[in-house]
Amino acid sequence: MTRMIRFHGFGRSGFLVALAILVCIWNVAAAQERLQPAGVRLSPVMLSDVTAAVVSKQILLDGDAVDTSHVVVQFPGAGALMRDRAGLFQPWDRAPAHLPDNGFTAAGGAMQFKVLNQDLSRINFPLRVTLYYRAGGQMKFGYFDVVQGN
Amino acid sequence: MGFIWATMKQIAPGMCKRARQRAVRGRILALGLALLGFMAFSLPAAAQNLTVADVNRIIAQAVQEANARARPATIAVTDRVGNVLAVYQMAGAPAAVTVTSGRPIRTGLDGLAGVVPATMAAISKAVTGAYLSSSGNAFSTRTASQIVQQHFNPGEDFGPGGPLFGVQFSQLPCSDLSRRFVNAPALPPLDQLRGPKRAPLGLSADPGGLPLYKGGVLVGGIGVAADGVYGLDRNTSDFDSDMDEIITIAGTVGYEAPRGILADRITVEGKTLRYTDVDPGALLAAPGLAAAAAPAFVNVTGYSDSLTNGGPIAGQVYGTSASGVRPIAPATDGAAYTNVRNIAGGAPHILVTGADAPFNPVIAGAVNGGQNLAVNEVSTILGHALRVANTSRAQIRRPLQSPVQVTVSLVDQEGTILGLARTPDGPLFGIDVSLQKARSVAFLSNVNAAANLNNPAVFPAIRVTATTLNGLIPGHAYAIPDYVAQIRAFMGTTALANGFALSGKAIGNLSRPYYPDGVQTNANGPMSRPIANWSPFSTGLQLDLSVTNILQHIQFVTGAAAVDTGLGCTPVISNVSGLNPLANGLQIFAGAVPIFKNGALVGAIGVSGDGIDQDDMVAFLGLHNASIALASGVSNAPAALRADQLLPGGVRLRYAACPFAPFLGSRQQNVCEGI
Repeated sequence: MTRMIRFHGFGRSGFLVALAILVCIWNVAAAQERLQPAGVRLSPVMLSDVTAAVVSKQILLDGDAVDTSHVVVQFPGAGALMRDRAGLFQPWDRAPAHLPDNGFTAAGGAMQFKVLNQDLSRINFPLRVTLYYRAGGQMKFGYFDVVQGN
Repeated sequence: MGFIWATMKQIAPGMCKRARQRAVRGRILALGLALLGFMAFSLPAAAQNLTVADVNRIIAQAVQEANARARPATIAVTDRVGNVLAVYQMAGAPAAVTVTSGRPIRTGLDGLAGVVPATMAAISKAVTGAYLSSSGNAFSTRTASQIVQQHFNPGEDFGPGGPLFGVQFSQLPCSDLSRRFVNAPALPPLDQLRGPKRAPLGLSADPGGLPLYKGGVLVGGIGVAADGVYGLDRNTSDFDSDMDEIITIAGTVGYEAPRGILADRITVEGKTLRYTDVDPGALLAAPGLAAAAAPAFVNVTGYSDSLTNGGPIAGQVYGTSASGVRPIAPATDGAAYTNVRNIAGGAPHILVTGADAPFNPVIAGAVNGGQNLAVNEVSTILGHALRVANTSRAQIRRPLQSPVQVTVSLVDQEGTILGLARTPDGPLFGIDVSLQKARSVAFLSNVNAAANLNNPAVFPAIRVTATTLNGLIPGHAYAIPDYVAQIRAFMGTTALANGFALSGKAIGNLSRPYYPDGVQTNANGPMSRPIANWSPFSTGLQLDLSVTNILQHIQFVTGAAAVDTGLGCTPVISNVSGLNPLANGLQIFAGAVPIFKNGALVGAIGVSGDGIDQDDMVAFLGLHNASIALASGVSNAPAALRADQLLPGGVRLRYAACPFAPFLGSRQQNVCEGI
């Protein structure tokens, strides 16, 4: 009922078609996403089930030989948390040199950044995730939002 | 008894006994009334909240008036922390509003027609009534209209800009600080009713938003959208008959603000503020007799499940953990708050999570130039700022001689929140605004500001996206790098990279549509749009940094976009940390200064909630006092780096202004001189 009211005037089927197109666009965009030295905005991730949330992102490397890879997550109103190789989070002092290496491996010219795999039902959304990698002495990064689906 | 006896003896001895007794009774009565008055102002207000019955009555009263005038309306009611308690839409009410300043402007949000749902307008108006008010002041959206325009008062030639110029773009839907309601009843409630909540369009200047009081206690706000216009009052020299406002007034019957704290009892810069233009005696309906409203509640994505709930929900009691804003708990909130809680005048409040822990715990800042703010330094600065507030005379509060009530935010040079605390009765809007101010100052004083605003990976998208979504005149869509070029043409080629300390006041100077402020024969400041394209809905750099977020949110609420705006207003990313340094948007009025430590920029302090000079003083003097107490190298900006050393356009920028004789119980003057 809620959904029908929310999409009043648009048509449920029309909405589903639009959503499918949007998801396709996202997927295409997601498959082509890259990090940049000055940072870049990446496509958002929408969670349909926050109780078993899996968040990851594939990043094209364009030939970069990645030395280290890093993940930072921000929760609303809270400081930034950095992810370690074990998938645990601890506060980050905002110094890129202090980010722990997550050790993600490259395959097929891309790198799969694993961010979260847990129950997120007790946190506020959205989240802001920043991905970094260092290659040839240069840090590249990009960010995306994790939002809660309705 | 002694007083009475002494009083009897003082009464003229020639008086007859009966007359003397009458005189004594009169004095006793006067003493009792004075005592009651004193108690009313000094005792803590009883905990109050809006019940479901209250919300039903408020809506029913508004509906009855709307019916009597044959003007179907959309009505929203919120609690003090911005929870939407109900949204009610009468059959035939305009579904959308036209955003307009009343001038032929088609930039920013101005001129947006048929796109913004009336529900969003009504909620923003209700939130504004609740957030701008407190137990010491009752402000309305009409008051907001008076203080955000290019002249104060609006329409007065050559008057400077409104004292809260730019505040309309606070509490934005993309703020990383404001909480979001989740339309997911199956989930545990958790933080769903903890505030402060966001306002869908920011704060509103459209008449028809008022605070709601119970027993003299601020409990929420009501907003009405009936006329299809989301605008402002461009002329305060007359009295309007605004349909939104009339219906809103009807809704507040029985929940009116105490007369003694209405905006029209408060002056700013010698000018009396305006509360409403409507006399309650002009109402057509008899609101007190209104029956409960028939169910025409609506869901508003991202704000309310009124329809699904079958009607209103109750509001939270402000000051409790459930409201998201509560007093510091010394036993559980940690030693970091030691320096914050040791002040007179009641325990400072903080924001808390669903687990009742500090939402913004005191943390250390990031390192810059080998320096950073330590936890003890953050705590000490917060504490000293709150002490300055506690000992200073408020500008916008009644009774006279009340202390200043504000929120204080500290950030590091990357915009990360290091700590946030507030006096108990500070208006809620100051939470988000104090953080905006601190971040704006830290960002624009940072040597990386120009590089981050010129980032080609981020900002070309703004020009395209804003123009496309807005559908307005493409030629008027500024790219953010255009502003950098303007600023550098105005202030020198190294501006925004030379380390000059830009305070909130200086940023305000540069963001007005006339430079200097109010001189309407002159052109705009470099962060503003030219006056031909300027309005409170089209301010310049401030709005353009967040306009994409706002438009995406509008589309999300209408269902045209599946995804809400993300965490963080503005797409700015720091080239140092990769974080968003302006995550709740840019703010452009006074009340913030940068923090230095041994010559390096390490953050900023932002203050909001009272008059702008009071906010400025709490930030500037609070930091100064803390620097003396700490003796660790933490200080205000070195004098040679302050904005008041700059004379762009031949006019000196201002740095900070303090009231002339600001302290309670003291005649000390020029308290910021020589600092």
